[in-house]
Amino acid sequence: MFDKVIASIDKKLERFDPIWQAEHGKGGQRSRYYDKTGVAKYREWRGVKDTMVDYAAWLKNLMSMAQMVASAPVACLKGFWEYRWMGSYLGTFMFIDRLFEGYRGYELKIAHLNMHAIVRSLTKKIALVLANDRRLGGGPLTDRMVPMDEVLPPLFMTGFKDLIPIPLQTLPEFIICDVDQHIEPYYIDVAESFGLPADVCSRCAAETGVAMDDAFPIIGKAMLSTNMPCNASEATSMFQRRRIGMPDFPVTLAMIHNEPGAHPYSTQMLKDAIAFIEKEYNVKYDWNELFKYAALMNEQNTIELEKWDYMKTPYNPLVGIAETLYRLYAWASVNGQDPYFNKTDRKVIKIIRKAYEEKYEPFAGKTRHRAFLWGPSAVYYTDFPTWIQNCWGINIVLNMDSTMGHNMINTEDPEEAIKDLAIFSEKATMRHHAVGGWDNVNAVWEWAKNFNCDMVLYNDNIACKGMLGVHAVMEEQARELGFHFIFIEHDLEDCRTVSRQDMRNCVNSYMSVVLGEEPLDPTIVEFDDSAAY
Amino acid sequence: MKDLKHLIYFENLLQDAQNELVTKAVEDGELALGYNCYYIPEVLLNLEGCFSSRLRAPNCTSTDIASYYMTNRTCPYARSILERAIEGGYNYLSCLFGAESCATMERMEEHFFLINPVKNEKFFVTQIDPPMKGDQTNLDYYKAQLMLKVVEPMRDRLGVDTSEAAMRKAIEEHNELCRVITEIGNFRKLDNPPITGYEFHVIQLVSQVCPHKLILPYLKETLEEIKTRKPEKKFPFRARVVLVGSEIDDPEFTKLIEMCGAMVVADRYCFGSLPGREEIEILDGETAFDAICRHYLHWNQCARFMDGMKIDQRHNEAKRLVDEYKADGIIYENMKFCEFWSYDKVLANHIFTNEHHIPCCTIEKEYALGAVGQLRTRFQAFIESLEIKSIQGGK
Repeated sequence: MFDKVIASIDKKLERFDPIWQAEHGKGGQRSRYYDKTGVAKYREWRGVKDTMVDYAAWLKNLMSMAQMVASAPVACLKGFWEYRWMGSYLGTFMFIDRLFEGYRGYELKIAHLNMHAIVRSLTKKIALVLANDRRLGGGPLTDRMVPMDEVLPPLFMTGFKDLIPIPLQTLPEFIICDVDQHIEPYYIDVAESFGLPADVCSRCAAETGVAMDDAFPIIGKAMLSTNMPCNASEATSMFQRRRIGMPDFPVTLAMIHNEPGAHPYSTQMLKDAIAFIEKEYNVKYDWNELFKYAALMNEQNTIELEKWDYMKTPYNPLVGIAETLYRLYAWASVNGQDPYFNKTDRKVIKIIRKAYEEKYEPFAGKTRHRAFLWGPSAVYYTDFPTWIQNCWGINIVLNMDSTMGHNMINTEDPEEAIKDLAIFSEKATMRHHAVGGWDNVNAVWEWAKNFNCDMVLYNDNIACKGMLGVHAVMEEQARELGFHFIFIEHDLEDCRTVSRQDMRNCVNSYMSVVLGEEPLDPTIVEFDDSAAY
Repeated sequence: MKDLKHLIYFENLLQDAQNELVTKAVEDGELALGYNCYYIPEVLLNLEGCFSSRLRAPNCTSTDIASYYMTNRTCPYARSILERAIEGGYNYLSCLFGAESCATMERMEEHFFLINPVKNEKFFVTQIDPPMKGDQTNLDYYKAQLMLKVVEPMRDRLGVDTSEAAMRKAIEEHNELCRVITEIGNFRKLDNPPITGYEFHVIQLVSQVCPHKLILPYLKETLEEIKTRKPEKKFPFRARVVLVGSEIDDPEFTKLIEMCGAMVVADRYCFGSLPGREEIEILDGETAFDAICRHYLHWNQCARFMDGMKIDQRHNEAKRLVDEYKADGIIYENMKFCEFWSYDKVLANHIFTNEHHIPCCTIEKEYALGAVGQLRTRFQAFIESLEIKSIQGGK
């Protein structure tokens, strides 16, 4: 009876559903937005049940935000005053809304479970960092924090029971760029005003600008930098160590990391890093403590591997950005440190199993192509996977960065554990397949084949020297192996060089000219969102 | 000054990677071993029966095919080398010992086995993962990488004698060449040197691209000639500069600076002699191989080093050269699209100008010297500022 009532309401209100509108030529996803902006006139109508799911998730995220402010009200206020990037976090709700446009049913539920885990973790982290930031007066935990490069997996640091590893660049740079496309260009300009050429990787230019602009929170007594993932990242570390002015230890893991000879070196490097922290913080490493968190990471990776099995089928509701963003955050930033992510994973895998049993196809079975997304993605266009599904029916099954370290860590023998950690850490964000030799890049075809993809989307960061260096060979390989292959040009964190529409055009041209297909939603083929967050 | 006897001969040797001395050595049965980067110790490639050939792409004016493979947004040096390889310019090579010194270099070297541009049956490629710090862990890794990717392939695939005795002999010969070049280079410290920066650049380059055994007699003769060479009556330049930065293998670049009025008195860049021509010392109880690895890791000034010690060494070394060679300033250059030197240039400019109070001019250059008008203007303005500073007594 209840379902019948809901179905009847849904039928009556279906004309407000952008998917229905697109199908019937009455509008679509873009119809509810003010021109050029990311500001919607009203929330997306998804039917009664899904709108409620979406709205409840919105409230839950709002609660987390409120808890953040309540836990450190003065620090948060000071943070807004001190840091330009803090203001951009106000765009978080718009950001989440645009990530999950067109999501319904199981895919929507999973997306919000994953997203809430991120919001919950991130808001706690913001409050923790601001409450202990020396620029804002410091706090009781200031000296127990260890600022470390966000690309260095922090799992090995959990062996320091009383210390709190904080990925330094995440708050002012890496995450916030996902939320607001206009924040990092300011920092890029700061770096360039000191003479840094505009052709270097914009992510690292932005980090340099953040350092020069004194926009990094100051925490801890000594820091860990790293050579990961690549050249520009190594180079920007020089500025950060100098500007922050703490004793630092560069954790330089092997660059050519797919060879047996690399791992002993990386293992020793982690041991050296542990010794450095022991000395600087006057603490002792506790292997049992590491084993505890390694077990959590192992569970996450075990579930991840099971997820991959479902992703190979059409009946997987963990899709697009819901998969990509979660895996990125859960791996790179959480890295086994927060049991809430294990809890989330357990819930999600249950839904995935159920969906598979029901032969549930996400996006009402409108997927036309299954794509593997290769190469570092544009951070200023986080909802690109959502757009490409809604517009062209291309389901991004898996992202390169989701394949990061998924080996299990030994939880009994310290010597074996550190070896496992070395391999695990070598395969970090933007590194597992973008760095370390041709074989790593060329692995895309095997991945794409295994996940039953007919298409490879190749993120073409215009300043990524490593990926630019294999342009033609990749294209030739795609032709030979029969994959649809699209270069998607972007500038990682600088939306001024390659706009979101420029990125969309790369896909639009291929889909309409090469494949001769019609868009699912014509309102989002070409539109101006240059002023949006 | 009177022209150096062999200068035109040397200049001609630099017109092609496979010059007449390279051809002669290969015809005599020597193995030509290519490399691009200081991370690959030149001395190892000069073991008995083989010779080192540091890769250049002289007179490369177009990189159309390499740009197809690597786009036009990557280092022009790397693209020029690939272009030259595709043109068949390195068919004399028996192998390429590469280094993942940077991502572009790695990708360029990968094309040497992906598209097989070198038409030589013996040819193969290896790539080391070079260290990024100067500590013991990195020295151990450097040794392991060189052993695995250079020494063992030389022994097992090319049949080269890599014994301790052979390495010691190679070091002796290498040191002899280094002594000659260093002695020539030291003339640049004089108030009125009997050699120009351009001439030295040419001499240093031929020592890197020609078989050592064949070029050494010419270098020795040139050294003797310079010892008695009369300099100009008055120092002919308006200023003295140290040239610091990434890859420069075209002496015309040095000539450009000198034509603007500043003598390049010290060459601290890839393909330069500082570092590059320091003698290798074998310590007591040390093997020749260990000494080579320690030496190259210690002297390496690459901008990719991340630890504070090596970063400071890089800048202190440039400062030392300014003092020792009595330079008025530094020209800090980077190859376009070189991320390491792009960053270091910004940092170094700040350090030299604000902390060491050394005038510093930073520029970005292409591999092939084409449109030099802008560079000339920059150099002229910098040299003028040095002159004014000198007139004002350094204020």
